[in-house]
Amino acid sequence: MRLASRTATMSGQRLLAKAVVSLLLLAGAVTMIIPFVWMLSSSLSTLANMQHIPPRWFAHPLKPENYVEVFRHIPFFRMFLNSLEITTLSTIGALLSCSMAGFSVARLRFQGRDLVFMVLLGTMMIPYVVVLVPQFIIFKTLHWVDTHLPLIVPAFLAGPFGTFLFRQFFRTLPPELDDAARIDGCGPFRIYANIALPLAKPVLAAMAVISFQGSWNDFLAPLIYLYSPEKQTVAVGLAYLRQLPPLGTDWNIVMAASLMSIIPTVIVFVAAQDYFVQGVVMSGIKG
Amino acid sequence: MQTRAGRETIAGYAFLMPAIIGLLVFSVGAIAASLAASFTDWSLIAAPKWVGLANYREAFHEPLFWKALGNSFYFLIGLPLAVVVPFTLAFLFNTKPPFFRFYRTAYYLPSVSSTVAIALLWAWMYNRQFGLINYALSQVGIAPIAWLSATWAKLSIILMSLWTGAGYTSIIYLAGLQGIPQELYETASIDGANAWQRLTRITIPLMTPTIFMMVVLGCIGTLQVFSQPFVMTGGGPEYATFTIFFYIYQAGFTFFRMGYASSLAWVLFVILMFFTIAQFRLERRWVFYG
Repeated sequence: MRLASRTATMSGQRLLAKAVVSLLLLAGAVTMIIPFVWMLSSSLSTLANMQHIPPRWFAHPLKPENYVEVFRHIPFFRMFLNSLEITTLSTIGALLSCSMAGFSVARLRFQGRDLVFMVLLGTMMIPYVVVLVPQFIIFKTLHWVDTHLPLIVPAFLAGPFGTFLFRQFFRTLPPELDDAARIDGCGPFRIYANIALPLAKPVLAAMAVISFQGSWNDFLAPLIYLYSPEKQTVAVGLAYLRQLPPLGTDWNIVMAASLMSIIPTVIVFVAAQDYFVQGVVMSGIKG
Repeated sequence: MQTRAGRETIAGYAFLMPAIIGLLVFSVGAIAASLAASFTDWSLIAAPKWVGLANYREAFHEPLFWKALGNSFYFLIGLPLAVVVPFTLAFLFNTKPPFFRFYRTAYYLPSVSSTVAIALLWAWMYNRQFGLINYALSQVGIAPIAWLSATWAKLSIILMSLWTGAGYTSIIYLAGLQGIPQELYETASIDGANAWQRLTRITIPLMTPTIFMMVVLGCIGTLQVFSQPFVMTGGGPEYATFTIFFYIYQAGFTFFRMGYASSLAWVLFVILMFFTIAQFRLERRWVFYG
């Protein structure tokens, strides 16, 4: 009898704890989502409506023309295509070069391999700011400034993070896999292309979403390398919008552009959420 | 006929070639070039001229340099919260609440959105007259705050960054929490440990490696803040949000003083290295590797 009542209080406590957790999480989730709702609401609002206190969440009348206005002030469509092009090519570059490098340091045996890998990992500690000026000078010498090349080509040169990600995965594959293929006369390239890569789909997906997001949202590189508005990316185009007087204070138009700019990454994230989280987790776990 | 080892060496280096080129040209080579450039006066129009330590001397005598450096360090005051909030969040996630996927999506949304869009959104929410935040505060009787004024702007950016990064960081902590063997908790419960004791004696000690890494990365990232102040305040007002990274950007890409920008970058690099090494020194005092 006493035992039963004790169990009852315990489960009561547990229920209370669960309720508190859910309440906290819900409050936090609202804090996360409200600003986005506000963004949407502002993007459909007239300026007069935005200066109303208390704020009106549903503008009346709605002003979808704000979205058209964006295209009138900056070549937004062009910028969107530019971002799409740069993002796609960089993602392909990162997948290709990092999977190759990761395969090499995980599955092939040769002299100097571990040294190269260690140095590569060491470069993860180099802050981008130190290489900013020399990289600019290199691309300037190549006459690549104000082209998309400085934003794409470096992605094809296997970065340390992606290489590490693929290496960790390829190391988990059983060695018998290569041995069997070798007996069948496969060279390293065919083992990579026909055996290792198809197995690496989860890593490829994780890397793709991370690379997509990083490239789409990159601000510094396009700011430095691109001058012409029609070559610019969405991220920097948005910042332009803010600096165009008096448009910078037309928050409805700025919010319309901001909302459009986050659609691709949000779609990719929602569609590939599990891969995304997996990639972040892999990046966070120590050697 | 080639030996197998020979073939593997060729293939190995062939596969690594892009990485090696990147390493030599864009990392190691670039660092060396940056150091060399920091001793020159280089405008990109004329050939670089050797000036010895003049750039470093100029920086150390320039009040704006110290102001920018001070601002960058000021941003570090947000770091404790940037550890505690995501950690708490991960802790809540780890209780396997209903609608976990929904929460994760919600909390994660800000970190997949572009920094610029988020900074613009917050600049509008921080609007003194019509912004959402001052309206919410007015509901609880707090007078409007000039969020983007010289007094408040740094704190405003810290608050926004906390909101942006919490979900992302919590996922990393959550992975750490899930790696703690369940038996440890069971044994502790049998021995009569309560929830608080389990948190402070098991969870937190076992999480210190993850916390440590996030603190190190957090410091490195925070000392390089640039995009948010660039978009929200343009470094102002009165240079209140002008960071060291901003100063480097301006020297290099507004005034095209490549030598001076390089010397500033090296100063920041040395500070970051010092910071990181110091943290690794302190590591064994509080980080527990089981």
